[in-house]
Amino acid sequence: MHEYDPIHLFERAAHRWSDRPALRVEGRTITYRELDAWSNAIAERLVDRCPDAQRVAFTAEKRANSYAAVLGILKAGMAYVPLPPDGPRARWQSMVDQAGVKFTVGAVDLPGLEAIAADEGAASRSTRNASGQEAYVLFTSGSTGGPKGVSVSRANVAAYLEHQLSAHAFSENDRFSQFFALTFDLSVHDLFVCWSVGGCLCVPAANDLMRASTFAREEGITVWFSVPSLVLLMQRMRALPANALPNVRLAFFCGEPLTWPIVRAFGAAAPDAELFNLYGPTEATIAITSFWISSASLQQEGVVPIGTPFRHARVRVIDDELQLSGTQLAAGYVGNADATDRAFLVDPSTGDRWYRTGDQVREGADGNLHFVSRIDDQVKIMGHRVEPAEVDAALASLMPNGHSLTLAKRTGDSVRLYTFIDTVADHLALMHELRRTLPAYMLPERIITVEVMPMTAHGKLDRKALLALIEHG
Amino acid sequence: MDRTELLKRLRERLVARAERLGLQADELDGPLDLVRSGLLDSLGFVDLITELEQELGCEVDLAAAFDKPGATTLDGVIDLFLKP
Repeated sequence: MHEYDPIHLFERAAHRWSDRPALRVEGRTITYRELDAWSNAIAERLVDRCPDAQRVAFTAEKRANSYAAVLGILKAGMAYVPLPPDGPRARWQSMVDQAGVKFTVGAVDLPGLEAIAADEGAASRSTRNASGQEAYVLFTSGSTGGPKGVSVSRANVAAYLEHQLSAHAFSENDRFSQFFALTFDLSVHDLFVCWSVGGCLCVPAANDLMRASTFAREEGITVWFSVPSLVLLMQRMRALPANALPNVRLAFFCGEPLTWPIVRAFGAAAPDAELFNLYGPTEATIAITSFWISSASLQQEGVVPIGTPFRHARVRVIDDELQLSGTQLAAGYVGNADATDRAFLVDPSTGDRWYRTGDQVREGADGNLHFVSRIDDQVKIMGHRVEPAEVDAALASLMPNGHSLTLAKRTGDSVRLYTFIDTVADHLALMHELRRTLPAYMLPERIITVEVMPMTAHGKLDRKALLALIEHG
Repeated sequence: MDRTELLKRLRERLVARAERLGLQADELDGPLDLVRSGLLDSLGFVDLITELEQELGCEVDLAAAFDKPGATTLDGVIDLFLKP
């Protein structure tokens, strides 16, 4: 087994720091001993009830059960599939079907699934199964239909942890933020970096993202990790005055382009913090490049570089597109060999696998990579990857005689979607249907009917002309 | 300004967005969570408060408002302005 296997590291910490707090959630403090026992009980139930299950789902609420479920599922040698708490159920169904899930920890309201209890309990025997290969399946937006599930292995996570634990001096006295949804792979950093070093993972309640600054002070957060948008939100809420986050000593940002003004605002609120900009798609496990933000470099504008690759990562830039290789590279998309083949290339001369990120980058003279833009239409909305075409795929079955085109438009700091249709339809009814299949962040701001889709002189859809319609009501 | 008037102004502001949820304007009532429902994203919610502050010529303690549950409902927004 890999020395940095996430369960191996958790169990080592649980043994060494058994009476220290591992988890603060729902107003409770749970020690390493308690969390270890709880997850052992879940693992034992899984091995007793469904020994052949490979993937197990749960509703990824920010509750103690969910954290015990992650550990329990992994201890049983299975992979976890977190379902977004807000649904919609049609999306859950697509995820469960694609991943071939038959069992859940805690009840999930879908037909044909069998629930294993998530309750606390004591295991009668050790059920640790180190032979599990896959750690989790997380879903991202897909341009050709529903969500795509990325299969990430325990060895991938181990490679990530090996880099992070060597690059930074975390300690058992650290208190880690857990802002990221468990459906988002950046949460894997929160959980397993924290639990590798004996730290305490501090989980905000659902509405606490709106009071992140207060939450961080109350919990004495020392290691911060969030999307840049969260800092922007705090700033807009006037919740980020100078020295507002005095305990933070390490801060990581990932998931979206980080701008220098956001860095300055955070730096003033957390004057003792060392700041890092991380970059990486789910397909390359959490993050794979890092840029250390020196306090001497703060007076800049524009976007912060994404830095240099982690120790086990290799990068190359082909036709301006960033490609990634190394031990953090995921196996591919579950049940979708076509999408896997398109995104993961095999170099015929070396046999190495390379992931095409779709991110256009520039290599700076100082050796740092700089994010420039996407080479496709994908956008980030509060850190979520969104393929606008997924909205059109959802609409296609609702409007058999019409076409739709969903475009992203940036206004100030926010990116929003607008859907143009060339047929007369009841917009309310369409939106109602979209809500059944898409998460809230993927819903278009508006649906706009056009008589004919405008074309450019080259016979392509005229996106500029469509976006201009938004301004005119 | 009283509660009824503030609710009316809020609805006026949000009616164009109700379409996003497939809702009629009168379905935007007090307990609906504006953010969790997808009506607004969290930045959009803060923008709404900022616009109201400008319109009403006052400043609310937005950060503290979220110490109470229900801050992102229509009722919560009204309380924010009427019960400082």
